[in-house]
Amino acid sequence: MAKSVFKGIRISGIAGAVPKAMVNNLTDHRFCPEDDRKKIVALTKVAGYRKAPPEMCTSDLCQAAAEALFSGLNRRPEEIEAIVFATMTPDYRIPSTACLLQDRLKCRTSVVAYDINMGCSGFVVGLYNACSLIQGAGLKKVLLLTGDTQTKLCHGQDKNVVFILGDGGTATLLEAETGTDEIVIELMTDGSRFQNLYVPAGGNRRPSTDATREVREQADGGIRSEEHIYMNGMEIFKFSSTDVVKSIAEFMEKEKISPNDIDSLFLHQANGFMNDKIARKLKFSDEKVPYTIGFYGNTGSASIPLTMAHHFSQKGSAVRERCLASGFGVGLSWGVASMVIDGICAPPVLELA
Amino acid sequence: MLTVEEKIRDLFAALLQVPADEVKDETRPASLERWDSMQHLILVSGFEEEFGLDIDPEEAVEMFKDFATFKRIVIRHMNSKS
Repeated sequence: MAKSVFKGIRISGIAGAVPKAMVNNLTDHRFCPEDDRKKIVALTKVAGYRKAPPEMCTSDLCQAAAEALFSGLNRRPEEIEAIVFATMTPDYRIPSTACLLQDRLKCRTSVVAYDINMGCSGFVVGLYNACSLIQGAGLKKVLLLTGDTQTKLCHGQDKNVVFILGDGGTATLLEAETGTDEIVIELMTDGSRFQNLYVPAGGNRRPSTDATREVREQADGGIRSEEHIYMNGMEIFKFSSTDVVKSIAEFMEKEKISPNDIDSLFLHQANGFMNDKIARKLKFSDEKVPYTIGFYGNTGSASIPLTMAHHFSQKGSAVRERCLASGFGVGLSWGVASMVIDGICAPPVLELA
Repeated sequence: MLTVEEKIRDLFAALLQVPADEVKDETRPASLERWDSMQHLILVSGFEEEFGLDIDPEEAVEMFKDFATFKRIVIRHMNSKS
């Protein structure tokens, strides 16, 4: 089991950026009857989300977040020794977008930079990588970028995803510092269930053809092509409310922590109904479970740090909170992390036009 | 006076916006176009609200089998409440 304990690391700052353009689930998506739109919003709690225009990529959002973080923390890009970029929506198939961000952020060429192809678990997997680079490789400052522009993967009339998935990017700075609290991370993977949440065609296994690009009503009633994202809603609900809940509960038991010991539980912002069920099963009271899904939707690998950025920007920099975070989804991949936020730079979430 | 089973069928049909006579014990998601995964969670949430129930996620998944299973789990919750 990939559980690791990291010491001597501070999470110095978290910043988020979202597109300025909003989608309103009640008034947009006219393909769906008004009564259904109201019921879906009541169920998922996603009143709306942000949608990137065609020319805006995930990396643009992460770059803006990183620059805001450098400014807020008074750090120079040259101080960064590694860039870890977790996303399902890179700029190009080749190369890693992290390489482009080294140049765009004006970091040194001596920087380590790579992408991690992960979605909803991207923050915890990225955190694991960033902490490993500090504790294992002895780096001092690692920039973790996570984000997705999932609206580019959705067909506009697939109601399983189009009411939920939004766009966002984040930047988190981790720095070596003695005397800080431990960061504990446990990661899990079950590739046997990958087809419950994936883009079936357009990669090397099933290359793009006219047939895979054809938009039609699929067996589950969703309107999309095979090059759009597909989600088996019930299987993902089952996975999230059983495997993920079990993993968080076991993590808490092993770490000897109860909901009373935790100030904030940051769940991947999957959908409101599901997250409520998860929090209730784990016996967390509502006030300990911050949400941003209502206005940002499910932003994939950005959802946890975007929620943290929103939460801590309101709490102020002097806050001290013991936090638990859990990301889960595409892979299937999931993970749990515990950390103490003890003073943090969290500028207000940016809006990019 | 409606029986409990009739009340469940009527609410199920109303939430899905299908005629009540289309809902039978053997009705499955595959045989009722409106009963997809999103509508299923709307159904579960609607029954929780209407009858004051707290349905476990595992049961919510089990209820996606057919109407007979859906009804059986709702009745079990209603009985355990009273």
